Amino acid sequence: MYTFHNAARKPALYPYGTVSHFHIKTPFGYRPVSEFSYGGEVRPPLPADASDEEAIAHLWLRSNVAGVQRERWFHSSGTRRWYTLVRDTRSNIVLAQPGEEYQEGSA
Amino acid sequence: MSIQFEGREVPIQPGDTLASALYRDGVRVFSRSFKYHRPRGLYCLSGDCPNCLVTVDGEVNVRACMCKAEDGQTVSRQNAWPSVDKDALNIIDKGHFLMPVGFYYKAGIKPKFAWPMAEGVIRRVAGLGFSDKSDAPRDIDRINRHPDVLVIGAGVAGLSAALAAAEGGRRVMVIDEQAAPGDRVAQGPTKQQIDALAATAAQNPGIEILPGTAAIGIYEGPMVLALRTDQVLHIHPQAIVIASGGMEIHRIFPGNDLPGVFMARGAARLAGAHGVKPGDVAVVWAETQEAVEHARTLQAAGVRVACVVTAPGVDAQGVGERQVEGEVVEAKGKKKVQGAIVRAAGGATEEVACDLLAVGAEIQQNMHLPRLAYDLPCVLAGDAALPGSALDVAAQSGTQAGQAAAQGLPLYVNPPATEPRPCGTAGYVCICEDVSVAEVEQAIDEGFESAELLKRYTTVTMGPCQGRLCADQLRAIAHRKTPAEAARVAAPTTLRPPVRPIKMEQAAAGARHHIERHTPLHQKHLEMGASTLWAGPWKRIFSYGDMQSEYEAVRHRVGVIDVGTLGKFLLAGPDVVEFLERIYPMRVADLEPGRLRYGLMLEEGGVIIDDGTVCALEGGAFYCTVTTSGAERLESWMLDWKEAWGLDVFVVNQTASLAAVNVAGPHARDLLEKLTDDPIDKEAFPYLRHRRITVNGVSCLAIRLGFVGELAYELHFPAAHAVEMWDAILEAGKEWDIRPFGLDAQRLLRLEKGHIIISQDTDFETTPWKVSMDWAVKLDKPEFVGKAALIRAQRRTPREMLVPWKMDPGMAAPPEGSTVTIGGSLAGRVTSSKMSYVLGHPVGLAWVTSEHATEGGTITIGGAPATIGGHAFYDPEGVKLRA
Repeated sequence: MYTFHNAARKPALYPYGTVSHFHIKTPFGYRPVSEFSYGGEVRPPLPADASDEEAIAHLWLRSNVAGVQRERWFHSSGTRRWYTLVRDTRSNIVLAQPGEEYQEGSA
Repeated sequence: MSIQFEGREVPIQPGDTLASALYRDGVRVFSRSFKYHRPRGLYCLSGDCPNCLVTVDGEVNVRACMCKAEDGQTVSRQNAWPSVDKDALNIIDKGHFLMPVGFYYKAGIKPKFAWPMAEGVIRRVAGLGFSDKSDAPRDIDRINRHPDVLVIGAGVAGLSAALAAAEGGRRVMVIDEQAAPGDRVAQGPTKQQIDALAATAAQNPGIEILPGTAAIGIYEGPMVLALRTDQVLHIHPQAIVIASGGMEIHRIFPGNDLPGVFMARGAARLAGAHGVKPGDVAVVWAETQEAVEHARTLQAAGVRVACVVTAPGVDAQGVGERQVEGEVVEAKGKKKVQGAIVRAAGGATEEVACDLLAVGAEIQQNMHLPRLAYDLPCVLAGDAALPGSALDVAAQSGTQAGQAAAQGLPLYVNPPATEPRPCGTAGYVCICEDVSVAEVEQAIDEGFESAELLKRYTTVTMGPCQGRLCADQLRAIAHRKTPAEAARVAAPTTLRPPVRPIKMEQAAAGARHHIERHTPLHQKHLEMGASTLWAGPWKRIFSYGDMQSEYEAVRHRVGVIDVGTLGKFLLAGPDVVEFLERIYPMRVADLEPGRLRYGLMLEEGGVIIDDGTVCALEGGAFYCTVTTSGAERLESWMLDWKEAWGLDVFVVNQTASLAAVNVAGPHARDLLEKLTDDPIDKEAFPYLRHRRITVNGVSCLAIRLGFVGELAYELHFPAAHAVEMWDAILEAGKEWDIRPFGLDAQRLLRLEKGHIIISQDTDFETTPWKVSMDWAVKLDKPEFVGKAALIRAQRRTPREMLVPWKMDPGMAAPPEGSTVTIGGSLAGRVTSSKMSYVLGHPVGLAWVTSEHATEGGTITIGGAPATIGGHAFYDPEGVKLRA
């Protein structure tokens, strides 16, 4: 029977999210980021009464943060679900895995 | 057992590398240097220097000292004319002044026309062999591995680390460049300890040893890239132990590149591991106690050790004919070493005749991999941590490293920027690129003061060794010339992977691992002689050989096409109507079960990203199709919106589980009536309806659509029945001479109807307004993706519109992509163009500037006149598809 390799694995050597590992927590364990496709930063929806400038910014401009970012990943080679996590884009440290609360300064 | 070497046979022995076999046979000059064509012989025997690059069976730049000798190999040396032994190009060495440092930049300026010619000559002269361009690259596999702990280097420290980490309960992988652990180590205590450790490790089920695997880069993750003969490994460990050892420092003195000058480890390897005498009379320069052992190894192999030159504190008592405390300052000789100038500690110099100078310099760590591991969970062990450590110290450091890795102690490699060790004042700094100390100093005088600039200008550290030998030396010279600004000029240069040479085919490993999706009917199509083309990840059928007869079958009789590649989704749930109302710009809520509607899909900017149909099923569920290439993307797109809106909807991707075929043509109903008992006549099953009917015993969702402009039934059914269904349809259609048709025919059929194909006819700024699909958008709906942008886009006239066009009979169809002109000025481009068989003239679609995009207007395509049409040229009233 096929088992996901993480399920059969010993507890992680390094707690995921504390070093430059980049694994994402799914219902099937932590999966390497190579199984996911990037969905970009989480953005608030465009309000219905937005001005043209706001609409243009919403459509075309991204903040491209060097630092802490809330972002979306689609598990394209796996569970085929979306996950939202908080990552430091400078270090690839995942500060909050999907479902976890992110508290500022918790890094 | 023998190899073919430049036209003669050279015998080989078990355990031989090409280098040892050739050396035993008397070959002393292995290559000619890059620029000056100086003779070069074996030097490091550890794969670190460029001196033994040869061509093996047509493959250039193989390191002879690392390549196992195998019976029947054809080996030749490179970069010389007429031969390496008598290289006429050595004349360049006599004219150093003609090729100053930075020669390329200085000589390559004027006259401009001469440079391409000169470059051709230089390429020939300086080339590192000639690659066989007819050689087809092999497909190299790319494999992902996930050990807990990765140990790089299977020496004493590495194997100790592996055992300790396995003891700690971790799954360990050990990789090493050599063919086996300790393979090239001379007999002695080191070899014995490696053998013992390797034997223990081999018994341990938690340890996997992969010899013949060279780590060439460490990346964040951490991810280690490693090369094997026919594989490229992407290793994703949780911790890395780097025990990649150290090497003797490349000492710089006049004559340091002569054949016969060896690193002491290299000479010992040749004598002790391969049983080949590296020379008859040796001078051994022993800066370390280890080098004294190498002198012993040489003696044991029958080499007369004339003199051991020791550094202070090194005890060489009883080794060699005599011992001198001091240093070697020069190697004498023209084409090979004939003597060594030894300067005793007191200052007196003497020449000692020899044909082998083994330089056992201080050990430096192999800093390439550690420096790439900056900020990653990584531990150093053995020589890589403590260069020149004794065996027990190395073993202990390995054990500690293994334990640390097993426990997940957060150890990070952060190598300090040490001051470079002083280096010699004359001789070759860089033997890869043929750069002497004098040339580096000249470059500094020209203003290239810092190591980073010197590297670019002189190309020192940029050759095959990637600075293994010379990086520190370059810094030392910069430091020496500008001591006041040492911190700036002597900073270590940036190090980048790969740290070992990599072949293009290895760099491309995995690049051809395409995911190629087939419908269940793919084999059937191939048996019928179909040609295929890529459509996203799918291989679709282009044609069965005769597009025109396929086309005519659909227009006049009946045809069938495999449309199983369409994206197929089942949507259900309490909020499904609300969800679809927001996903699609047209109305969905009023769609009664049994009806269907064409739908565009827009992104937030109002740009068309896909199209397809929405069928309302009994019981409140919906069945949606999207284009072949859109299926993957749209699934994640829909799920993303679902979450953004917080709607309770299930999206089931049935793309692979359902097969689909489209039976089209005036006789499509006649054909299906032979296969089903369900009513499918015009009254019971009209156009733009769908029904569940049983065809050939299989329950199908039948959809009446008109993409090709004829009476048509699209059947969706479980993929397991695809082959029998296909056969049954072709059998039933025989009386109307049915033809399967491919995309080529379908594209003409739809073009005659003016139907667009998303992404062929549309681009990244195509709104529904620009393709005259206002009817597919209901702006009075409260919300749908892209609505706000479409309202904004309505405020101004689009710059260009997509219009159907036709030419007069007798004209040839212009190629797709042709420019459209009006009155001689550019006015657009053709996106689709084909000769219509049924109409007898070319038809197509084109983007045309809005002011000219009126029905009946004349445009010029590739010099020929064309007329802008309405929405369809064939059956504009749609009588046939409603039949």
